[in-house]
Amino acid sequence: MSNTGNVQIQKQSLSQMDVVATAAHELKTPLSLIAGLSSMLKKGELGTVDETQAHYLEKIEYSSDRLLRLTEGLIAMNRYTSDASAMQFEAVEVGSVITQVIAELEPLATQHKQEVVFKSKRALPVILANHQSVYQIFFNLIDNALKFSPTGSSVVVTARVTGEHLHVQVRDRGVGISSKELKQLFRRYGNNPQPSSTMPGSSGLGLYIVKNLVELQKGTITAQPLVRGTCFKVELPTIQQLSLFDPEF
Amino acid sequence: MKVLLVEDDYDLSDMYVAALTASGHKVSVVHNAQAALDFLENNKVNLLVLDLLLPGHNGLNVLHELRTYDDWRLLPVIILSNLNREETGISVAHLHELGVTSYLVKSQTKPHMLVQAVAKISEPNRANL
Repeated sequence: MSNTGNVQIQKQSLSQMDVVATAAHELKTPLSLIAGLSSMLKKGELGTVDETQAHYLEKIEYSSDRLLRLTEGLIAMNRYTSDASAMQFEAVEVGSVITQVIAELEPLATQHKQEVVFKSKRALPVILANHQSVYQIFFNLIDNALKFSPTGSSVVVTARVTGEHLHVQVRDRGVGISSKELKQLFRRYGNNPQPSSTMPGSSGLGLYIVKNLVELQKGTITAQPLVRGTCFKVELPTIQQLSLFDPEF
Repeated sequence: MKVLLVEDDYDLSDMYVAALTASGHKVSVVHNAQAALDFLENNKVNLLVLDLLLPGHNGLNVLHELRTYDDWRLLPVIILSNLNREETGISVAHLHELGVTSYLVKSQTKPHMLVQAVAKISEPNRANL
C-alpha cells in the first residue's frame, strides 16, 4: 500500500515538474522580448532616454534576465531529473564560467556599489561537467549572494582543488541564516532568510535548482552560516585524464 | 548585408529587425519554413538568420533543403533559437556540415549580440559554434 502511495506521489511530483517546465518554456519568448527591448531602449537605440530612464530600464533588463536564468534552470532541472542521460558532459573550465558569470552580474553589483572578488591560487583544472548546469549553479549562487548582501559589500568567490575535487565557495556579508532556515534552504518552497533592506526576497527556487544541478554533476553543496553572512560550498569531482573522454565540441 | 530573418514570433522579429536595420543591414522577414524557401527562390540574400521551432516544418528542414540547391549551398546561416544546442540533440559537427556559422540562444542573445554575430560573418574564420 505504502509503495503504491509513494509511486502516486512520485508520478504527481513528476507531472507537476512537467507543468512547471512547460510553463517555463512558454515564458522564454516574452521574457527575451522584455530583456531585449529594455536593453535597446537603455542604449538609446530606439530614441533618446535620459539618465533616470536608463537607470530604470537597466533594472527591467536585469530582472527579466534573472527570470530567464530561472526558467532555464527549471527547464534544465526538469529535463535532467526525468532523464539523467539527457545531460551532456564535456570538459568545462569552471574558472572561465565563474568569470563569465561575474561579468554578467557586474551591472547589478555596480548599482549597489558591491563587488564580486574571485580568488584562486592556481589555475583551475578542467572538469567533466555539463556546461549549462555549471553556469546555472554559479549564476544562481553569486546572484543570490549579491541580492542578500548590503550596499557596498563584497561577495568573495574562492576556488581550490584538493585530491579529486574542485571546491568553490561563495561567501557573502548578508544577514545570514538561522539553523531553522538552514533546514529549509534547498527545498523547493523553502524561504530565503530575511533580506537586507536594499534587496527584495525570493522564494528560494534558485537554491533548489542549484542543489539539483550540483547533485546531477555528482557533486555536493552545503551552506554554512557565518557570524557575518553565509558561505555556500560547492564540491565537484574533477577528472584526471581527459583522454578518456571524447567530448562533442 | 541583405539578411533574411525566419522567425515565427512577430514581436521578436520586430525587435531583431530594428536592431539589424539600425546597424545598416537590409532585413526581410518571413514567419515559417515554406515562406523562407519561397523567398530565397526569388531573392538574393547574404545571410540567413533562422529560428528552429517554426510552424509546420522546422528550421532544420529548411537548412537541409537549402543545402541541396547549388545557389544556396554556401549561404551563411546563423541559428537563433529558444532551444540550446543540447536540447536539440544536434552535434557541433553536424552544424558545421550544414554550414551554420553561429548558434545563438534567444534567451541569452540581446539584439546587439545578434548584430555582433552578423558583423562577424564578413570576417575570416567566422565559425562560432
